[in-house]
Amino acid sequence: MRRALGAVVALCCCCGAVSVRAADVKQVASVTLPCKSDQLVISQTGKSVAAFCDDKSVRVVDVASGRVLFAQNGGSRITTGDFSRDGNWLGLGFWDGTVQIVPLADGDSHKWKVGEHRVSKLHFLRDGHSVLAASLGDRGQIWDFGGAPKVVATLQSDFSSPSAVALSPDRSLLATAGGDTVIRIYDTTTWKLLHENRNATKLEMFDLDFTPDGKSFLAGGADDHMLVIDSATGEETRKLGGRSGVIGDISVLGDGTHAAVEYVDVDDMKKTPEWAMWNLQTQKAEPCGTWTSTPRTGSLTANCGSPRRTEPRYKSSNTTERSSAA
Amino acid sequence: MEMKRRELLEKCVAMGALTIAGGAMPVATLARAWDDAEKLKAPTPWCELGPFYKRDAPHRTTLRGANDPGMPLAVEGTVYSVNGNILQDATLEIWQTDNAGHYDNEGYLYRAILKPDGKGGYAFESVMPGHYPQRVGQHVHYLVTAPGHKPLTTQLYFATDPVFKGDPDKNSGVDPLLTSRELIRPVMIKGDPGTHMIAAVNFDVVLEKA
Repeated sequence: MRRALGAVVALCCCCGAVSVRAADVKQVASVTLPCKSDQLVISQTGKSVAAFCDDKSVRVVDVASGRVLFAQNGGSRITTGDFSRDGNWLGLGFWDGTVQIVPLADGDSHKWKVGEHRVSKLHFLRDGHSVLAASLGDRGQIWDFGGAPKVVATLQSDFSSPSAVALSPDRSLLATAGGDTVIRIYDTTTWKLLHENRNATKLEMFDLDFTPDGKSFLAGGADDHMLVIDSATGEETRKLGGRSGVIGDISVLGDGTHAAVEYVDVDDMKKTPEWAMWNLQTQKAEPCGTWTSTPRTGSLTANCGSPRRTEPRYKSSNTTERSSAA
Repeated sequence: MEMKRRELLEKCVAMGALTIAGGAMPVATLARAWDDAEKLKAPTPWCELGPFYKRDAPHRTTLRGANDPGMPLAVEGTVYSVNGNILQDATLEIWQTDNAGHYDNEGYLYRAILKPDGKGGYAFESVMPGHYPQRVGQHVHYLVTAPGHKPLTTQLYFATDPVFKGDPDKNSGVDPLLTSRELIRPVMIKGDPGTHMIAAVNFDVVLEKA
């Protein structure tokens, strides 16, 4: 789902240092983390890494220089974060329903309330000055923060907020999925709902990712099947199964022939999530490594050749949001 | 002799103890408004949906199997609108873990759809849910819908849950996802000790109007 440095990357952190590696596991950059953290967000430009630190601060580090571009301490607990596509903005969502947009280059900072409950989803959109934000339990809303933040559109939902969203590569489509188990596709110019699939799954989807040509996207979540959805119709075209675990992360790689998929054992959260590399042409998957974390040392390893974005987790636990919210 | 509300109002008006604005409102109307006001109910607090809702659960009221491990649990309640009217056309979807804290995502164990009876009442039999890994409190998920009302997602918690250490008033904050003390319900243990005991809980649900 994350593409940086013009290629698929993986994060590799060791003893407080974070490395950016290309798909062939060649290290292309390394930067020392300013704090202990196992929750990192890499910008899509690959130039910045946001570390959500154990001391409850967030710090953005310039990968090239190691310089801390932004730091914010304490305050409300952060629940989610996202970089804008150009890397010039950092968005933060908080437990109290507040969203903060921080300029990493030029621009004004914005902070406003999007709902009463914690911000469960924050996602920058096509134009660089709008975000999708959702307070848990509320419908997702499109906010324009070019001036004073205002709602541009409200997404559809039967009774829940979106838990997974993805923009098509040409940014014309937004795919969403949520607790109501419905997969929806919107036109990002008009925000008109184009397609709604109520039959593809009976469970919540936790991640979506488009193929590079935008013709389809992958969806995975609370069951162990990954769905291939046709962007033009919203219909399921394939179902890829055979591996066990809840799907937590899907990253379509390279030219779209492969996808790295994270499988989580929700009955044993101490168990290291497993990654599988799916060949989307042969529809076969091979194990491709694990993502391990050691919160005390901030040590992370991933061997899948996959990009990875980790979102902040509840400080009261050491699990992903979806698992701790069961 | 017990005085009816209407009689009390009539006496108050006759004695000049109560002045009805404009003198145009009949006592019966005022009595009805009083009755309506007393019926008003606070909406049930929201609590999050969680990640393991599954659509199209079976319609049934018995969720536990004959030999399922765990303390048998019987939950009953009534579904209301905030105006106090019963909502017999509501739909309740409930789901929980088994006794060991495991959600069945492959099938529909411990998942059900319920319809209230003619008096808005619902009931189901299950087992006391286990502690799901990384969640603090035992809980049962609810999704309640009714025509003309906002969908409600909430969770039922249990005062007997060891995490509350016998004092839910003091310790309800141990679960960061528990939004209201009101969702922790008293548990009454019924039956014969050592033979057949069951944990009985009442959980009324109040929906806001759309």
